[in-house]
Amino acid sequence: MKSPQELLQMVADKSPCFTELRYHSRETQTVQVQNGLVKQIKSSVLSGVGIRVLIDGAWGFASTSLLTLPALEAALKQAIECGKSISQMKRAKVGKLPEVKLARGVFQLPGYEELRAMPLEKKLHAVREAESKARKASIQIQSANSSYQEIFEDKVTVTSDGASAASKLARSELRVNTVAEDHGQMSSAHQAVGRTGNWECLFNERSIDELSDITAKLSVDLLKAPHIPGGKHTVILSPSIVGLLAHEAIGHTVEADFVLSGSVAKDKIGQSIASPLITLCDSGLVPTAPHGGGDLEVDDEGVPTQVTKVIDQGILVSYLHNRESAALFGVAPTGNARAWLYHDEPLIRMRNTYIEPGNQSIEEIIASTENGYLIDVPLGGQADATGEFMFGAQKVTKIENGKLTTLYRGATISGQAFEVLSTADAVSKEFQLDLGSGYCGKGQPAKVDAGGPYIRVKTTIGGVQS
Amino acid sequence: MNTLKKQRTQLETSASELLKAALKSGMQQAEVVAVYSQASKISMEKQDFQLASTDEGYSIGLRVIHDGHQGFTSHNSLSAADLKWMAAKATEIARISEPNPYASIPKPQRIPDTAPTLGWDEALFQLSMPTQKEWALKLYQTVTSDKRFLLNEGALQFGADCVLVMNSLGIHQVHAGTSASWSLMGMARDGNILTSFDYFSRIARQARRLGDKIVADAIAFRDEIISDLVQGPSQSYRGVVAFSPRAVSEIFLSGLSSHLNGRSVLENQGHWKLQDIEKTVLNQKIRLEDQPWYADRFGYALFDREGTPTRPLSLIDQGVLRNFALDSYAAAGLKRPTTGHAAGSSTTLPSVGFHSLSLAGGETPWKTIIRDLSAAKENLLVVNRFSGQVDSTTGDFSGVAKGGHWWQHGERVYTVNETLISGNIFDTLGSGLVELSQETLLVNSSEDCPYLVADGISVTGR
Repeated sequence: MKSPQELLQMVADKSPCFTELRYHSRETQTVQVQNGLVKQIKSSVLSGVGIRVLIDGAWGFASTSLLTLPALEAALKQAIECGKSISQMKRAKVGKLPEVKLARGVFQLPGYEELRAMPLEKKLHAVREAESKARKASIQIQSANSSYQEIFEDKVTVTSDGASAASKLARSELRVNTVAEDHGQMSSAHQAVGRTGNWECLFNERSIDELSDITAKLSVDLLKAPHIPGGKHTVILSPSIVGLLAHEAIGHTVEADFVLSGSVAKDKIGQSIASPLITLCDSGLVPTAPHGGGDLEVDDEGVPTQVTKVIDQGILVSYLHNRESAALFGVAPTGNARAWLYHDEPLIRMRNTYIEPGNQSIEEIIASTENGYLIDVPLGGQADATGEFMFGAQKVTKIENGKLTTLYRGATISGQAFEVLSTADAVSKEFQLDLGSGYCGKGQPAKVDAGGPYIRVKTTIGGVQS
Repeated sequence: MNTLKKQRTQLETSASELLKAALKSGMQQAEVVAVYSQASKISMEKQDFQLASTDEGYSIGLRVIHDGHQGFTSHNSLSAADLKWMAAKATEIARISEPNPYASIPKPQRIPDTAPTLGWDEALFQLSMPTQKEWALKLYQTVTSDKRFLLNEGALQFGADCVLVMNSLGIHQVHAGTSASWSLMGMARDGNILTSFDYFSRIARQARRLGDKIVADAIAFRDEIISDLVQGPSQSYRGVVAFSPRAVSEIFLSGLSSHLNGRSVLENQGHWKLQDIEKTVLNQKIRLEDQPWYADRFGYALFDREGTPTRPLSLIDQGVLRNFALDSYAAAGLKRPTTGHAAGSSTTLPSVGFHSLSLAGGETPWKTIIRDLSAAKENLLVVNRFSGQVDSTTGDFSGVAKGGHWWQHGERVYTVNETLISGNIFDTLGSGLVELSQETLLVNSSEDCPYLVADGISVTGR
């Protein structure tokens, strides 16, 4: 019996055009406990092969769930028909893909075997404990929920121009949510962590008990918190909020497909777009922060990933590329082509996106802030082609005369990313990737991570008006 | 069932085998959800056609229950070996799990004779590739006919599927459907002025007049974005704000749906309790129902994820809370009958979801409302889209008014950027509600909403 790699190679060798074959098997396990009851434990498998061809200057794609030579050959035929069909409609034909050193060999990130070997019962026990601790933290907690998910990815990528990479990695994430109530007043809070690696690396920064305690305490504290006044303010963004800014407001605007569509970053390479204190990267692996939620050694075009510096001391220096966009811009691909499932085609996606740390401590930055807010615990966010962003934050704390004072209810912050980053005047040495439980949506989901240091900027807070 | 007969037989055979295997392994109850789907898609990107693709496959999920212990597995293979693995794994999971008194599967019910079976159109199923390409070209050419429009992404997809739900209590529901769906995402640029991006998606299940619908949508989408090129500043104030049907969907229906979800009630996360049924909870102008039987909606369904027949459900009538949406889990917990609102797929356990929420309109046409309102106000914001958060616990909302229109003295003067709004959905739909427009619009083939005018909203301008 032939291995997936051998089968894929056989099809690639026979193809009359550029062909990329990707075998992808994904196993997912989920555990959820709510209010003392096991709500779900589930296990899912999804596997198959996606085949993309470049023929007559256009892309065609087809997939099959069967890993057999006849099924692969039939899918190749369909992909070629698709490519020929759209070629007649395409205005600008796709040219030759750039030559690049493609990945060959086996790429397995640490933790895969350990997490697989860990019994499901142990994971269920931990999730039960996390929920129970959060629920029992205060009589004001009226609902608690804890969930865990792990994804095992096995991929083989073969291209007709030389890639032949087998990769394995395991991603896991844990969430705790609580709802507190007091005399009809309600509030909620959540904490989440996501990593690539074994079980233990989930709790490198905060133990599972701490996650439960922090969540419960925040939901109770928010019960009495007032609404924040709206307006333009000095704010210190936490690493997770900086991660949102780096990913949503900068990262998406520098994805080369978005640039070619006319994003605000178009024609800005070499220009100053942020404070000189800002250096922003997107990376498959982050040397100083192992187990990032977006870790990746080889992308889905068979290109090895790298540390891609996007902003260097305030200057925009690179976009994020797949092979097609790299050819158009005359640069090397950056290893950003990713597909969510076997039947998805690769798109330009981020991996771990972060702003590099500075020299000050967070204590020093707070102490030197006369009047402002510390913004922490993200609630999600979106950004626009214009660079205009919106982030929700669950924890907003007033800073008065260099000291943290009043806690406010959650708020939304907004601004134009380049303008806001140009106001950065303090960057902490503390650094964290803190969005590993997040998924990026762009037609398909993608597992990503983001983070950075604490950064002080000026931006608009959407709050109440008198 | 037409030409998907072979696939239906395959689904039924596999589901029967899986149910048998689960019961044989000692489980008391079992449920299978299985799907066959096929699709062809033409995608656009970067102002051009990007990719043509086809996809076809099966997916199957098994839920088992024994004394309240529940297990679930899913796979995209129907091979005998994989079905055997699924039954064994689901049983193993159930044995590891702990009893949950609400874990249950529903008993069979008949789909009402009044339910319209509009999901299959042979003409759409047989649509030729040249016609598909012709309509994709029309979509592309229409939207890019104004050079200021920048197309970021777009797609036209044709598909057919067959969905089967079987359980050990006798449920056996099958439905085959066809669909065409199209979507666009883009923005506009004129010199240095760049608009926010916008998007829309639509679905149809019949081929009739499809080409006309696609072109009409493309024209409306293009022209709306181009109109956002006239931009200006906003000001901060607290007071009256108007919301477009789309903003009503994104803020108010999205916020309300979590509180009308029976699981939120059961789990003490909602604003309302079971005993609030038949009480006045919102302004008497509010009439909200869920409609599962409109074929031109993404949520069209004759039965839900658990095989329970769907039916229209009144949720709020003249401000009075009438019903919560329930699947069998929430129904068991709240000791009420399921309402056919189990959402999910063959790869997930059921949760509660809505089919197509419909908020009824008021008595005055929108043109009259906005004319009178803006004439009486020095400044007025009309929120077109919303990019932000609605707190699912408190109902507080805060976010950016995307493509917001600024009105002064009876005239729409320009589109605003970086303008934030905040408020609370219960306050707004209670004492803060001023007016609902007579007409309602279908938002992204999902929800029907009128324009809404409310007082007490905070606007933070640039």
